[in-house]
Amino acid sequence: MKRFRDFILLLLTTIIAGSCTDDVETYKFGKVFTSSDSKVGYLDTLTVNVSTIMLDSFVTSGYNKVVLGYNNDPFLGKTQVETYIPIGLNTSIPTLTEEAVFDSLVLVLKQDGTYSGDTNTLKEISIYRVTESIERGDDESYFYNVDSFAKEANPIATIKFKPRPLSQKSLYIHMPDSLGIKLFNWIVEGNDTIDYSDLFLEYFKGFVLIPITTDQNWSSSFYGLNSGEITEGSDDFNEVELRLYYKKPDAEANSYISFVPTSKDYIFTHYSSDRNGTVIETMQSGSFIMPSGQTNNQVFIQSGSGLAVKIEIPLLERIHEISSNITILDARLVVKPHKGTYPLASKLPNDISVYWTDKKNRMIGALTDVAGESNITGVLTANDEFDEPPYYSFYVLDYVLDKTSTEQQTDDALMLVFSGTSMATSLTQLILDDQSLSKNSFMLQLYYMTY
Amino acid sequence: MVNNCIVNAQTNTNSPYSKLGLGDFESMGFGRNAGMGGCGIALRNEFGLNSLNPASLTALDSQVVIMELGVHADYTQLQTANQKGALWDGNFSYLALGFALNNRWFMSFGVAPYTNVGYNIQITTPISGSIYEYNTAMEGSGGLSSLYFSGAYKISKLSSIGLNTSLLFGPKNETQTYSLTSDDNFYVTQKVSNKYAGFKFDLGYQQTIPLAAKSNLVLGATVNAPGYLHQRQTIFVTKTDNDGSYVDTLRDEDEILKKVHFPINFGCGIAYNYKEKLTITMDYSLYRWSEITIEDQYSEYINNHSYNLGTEYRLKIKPINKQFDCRAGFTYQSGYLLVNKQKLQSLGVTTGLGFQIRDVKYNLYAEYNWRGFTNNNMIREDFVRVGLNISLLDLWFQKRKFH
Repeated sequence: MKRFRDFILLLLTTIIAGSCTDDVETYKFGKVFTSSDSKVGYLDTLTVNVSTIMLDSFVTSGYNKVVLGYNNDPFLGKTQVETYIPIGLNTSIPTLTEEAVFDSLVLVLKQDGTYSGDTNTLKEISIYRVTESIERGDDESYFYNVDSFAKEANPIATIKFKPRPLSQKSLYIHMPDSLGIKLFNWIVEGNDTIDYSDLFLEYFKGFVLIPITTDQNWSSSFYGLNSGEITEGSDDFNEVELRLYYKKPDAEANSYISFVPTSKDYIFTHYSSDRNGTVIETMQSGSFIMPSGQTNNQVFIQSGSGLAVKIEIPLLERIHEISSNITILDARLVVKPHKGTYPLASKLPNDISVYWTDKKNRMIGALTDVAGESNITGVLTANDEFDEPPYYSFYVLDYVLDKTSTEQQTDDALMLVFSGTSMATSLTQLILDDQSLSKNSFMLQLYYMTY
Repeated sequence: MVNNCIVNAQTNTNSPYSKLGLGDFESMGFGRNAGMGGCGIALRNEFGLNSLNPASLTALDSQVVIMELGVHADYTQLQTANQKGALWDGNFSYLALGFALNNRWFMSFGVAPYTNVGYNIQITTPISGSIYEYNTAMEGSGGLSSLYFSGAYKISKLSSIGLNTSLLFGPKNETQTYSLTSDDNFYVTQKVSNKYAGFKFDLGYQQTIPLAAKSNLVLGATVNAPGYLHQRQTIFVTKTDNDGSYVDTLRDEDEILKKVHFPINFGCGIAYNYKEKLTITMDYSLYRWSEITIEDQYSEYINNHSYNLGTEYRLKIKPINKQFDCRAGFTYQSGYLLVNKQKLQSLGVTTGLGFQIRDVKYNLYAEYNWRGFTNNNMIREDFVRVGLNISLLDLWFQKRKFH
């Protein structure tokens, strides 16, 4: 028995002492185990159908931005953006004595740095007085890209300026003295029009600023003025100001009274376009679509006018014909702008958003990553130095997983459009090639695995 | 170190080839077999157990109970055409008990490893049509153990027959992870667990032919009957994103039942024992693994011819009155697997030393084994094992008999 007990002790000792191994290292080799059928496959030949659509009207107020621009090209025709500015009553109007002397009435605008196009030529803009109240009958306080209001037949002022967006140069536009003197006298007299804002608004409904595009100088450019805070987080905004300059008796320099927009939220941009003679002549908003085959195998995105691209990949639903046990690991959509439709690759727009859209072309929601945490935007790869054409890449795995799942399929598709801010406050366009025009455009790169 | 021991006790091999089939076969036997090139079909030992032929049990001293235990430590070096790596490993080899019931009947039972599985491999494979590649990581563990019971009958003073029944059982588990080399995407993990259980039967026979002057010749033969191994498989496949925050189960199947058919294997051996000083022995075994019904996408089972050669010389050192059994051996396997159209041959040399201190017999041994090549994307393994098999002799039954 003693022997047996010794044996057990010996056994236990050896089991404990003996069961020791190195940290199991990983052998980074083993090509002998590469089986002939690769488990991971790559597919980039699925047909991607693209069409151009036009979004229903959308809000362009609330950005506190004056945008002026014009685009004229053979693809999209002529598109123009102008801005409505309702001017209100400044509540703190000082009392002026009769000895104060009127100097001038000036509209002040400041370039805010957003622009596109050639800054080397002089641009001309005209300012009109609006004759219709800038308001919506239904008590709403939003204005849309398609809204417009009646204006006087002739502008009250024009100005030619050389754009200096990066140095944020201000524009001082002289208004007619007759208007200035009238306002000045009302202040001196204490007229009711100056005292009561609704009376003021009756008299003075606001301005609309319109680019003068009769020459080539505006071709494909836009400028943004007056937007955002002067310093981040502050309450001071660059504002459109109508300044009434006067000289107080015994004062050396001029003083001025500011008339500012009734609300910065009421400044809005109006876009209009003339598509005669282009492939998208018959474009309508709503559920109307123009497949790329009808538009020279190209599709278009344009801010302001609401042109967007609709994408459908019908064969995704049949992916299980490759194997019933198939799962998608990665999905990227590569999209290429048409060569020659952009001046510099690095200046291509960098804010393309992706939305889910229903069969009536309405935006359902943003496309996100699979975890649902961040919205998908196009990643631009562009290098001005090399000859390689620029392209955008979109991570569309969430869309592909939805379309390849075994659940009931919907008619929902994807839409490419500029970001909300771009759509309302810039004039940008993209002309993209479809699959038949350019081999690598609208190419869906799928990585899948069979298990 | 302690954590490593407890967690990693499952794997007692580090060979990528153990991924194939049922794992690496353990075939070096008990006691003195390992030092003698794995020979044992024609060996008989009074004070030691020999698992390679159940009929050898009838050689046991009728008054002694033998308890045997083996431990070993392995050093494995792996090489491919452009890489090298080495690992240490250690575990206990087997546990067994053997004794005579009476003058005619003998018995033994114990537990020993049958196969070993342990590997951790990473491969990078290009994806046709794309600039990216994908990584495959395969980690496996497990191995079959054998719980055996042997009975032997002494037909006559010179011939014996034995039957061994083994219950083979154990897991073979693998986790494979597939991931793209590009950023920001999903990876797939496939966990396959197999549980095996089945019976194996071996029949053995030994015939002694006495020669002049206390020498003899022993002839031995073994055959193992075909049997089944029942396999229960579970497959669990998931897809996970890089953060680990999104997990999708793709496949979850358990209770997939399969049967593995075992073929009949044969072995024969011859030993020449000169007085009680020298033993020279040779074994040949035919393992008909081509008949085994096991699927493996990377390899094919083929028939293995095993050649073993062993010798033992008893060195008596008179001044200290001690005896040392010096052993040496050689083994060659033609290969039980065909990998990349090449037979996985292996070659080994062994050496051993046996001695007794009081009632304990110590059998030290060392084995060097080489397997595989580095051409053709294969892996070459150089393996060194150092082990100790201990036999505790007890006069257990003697006390009982007196009563």
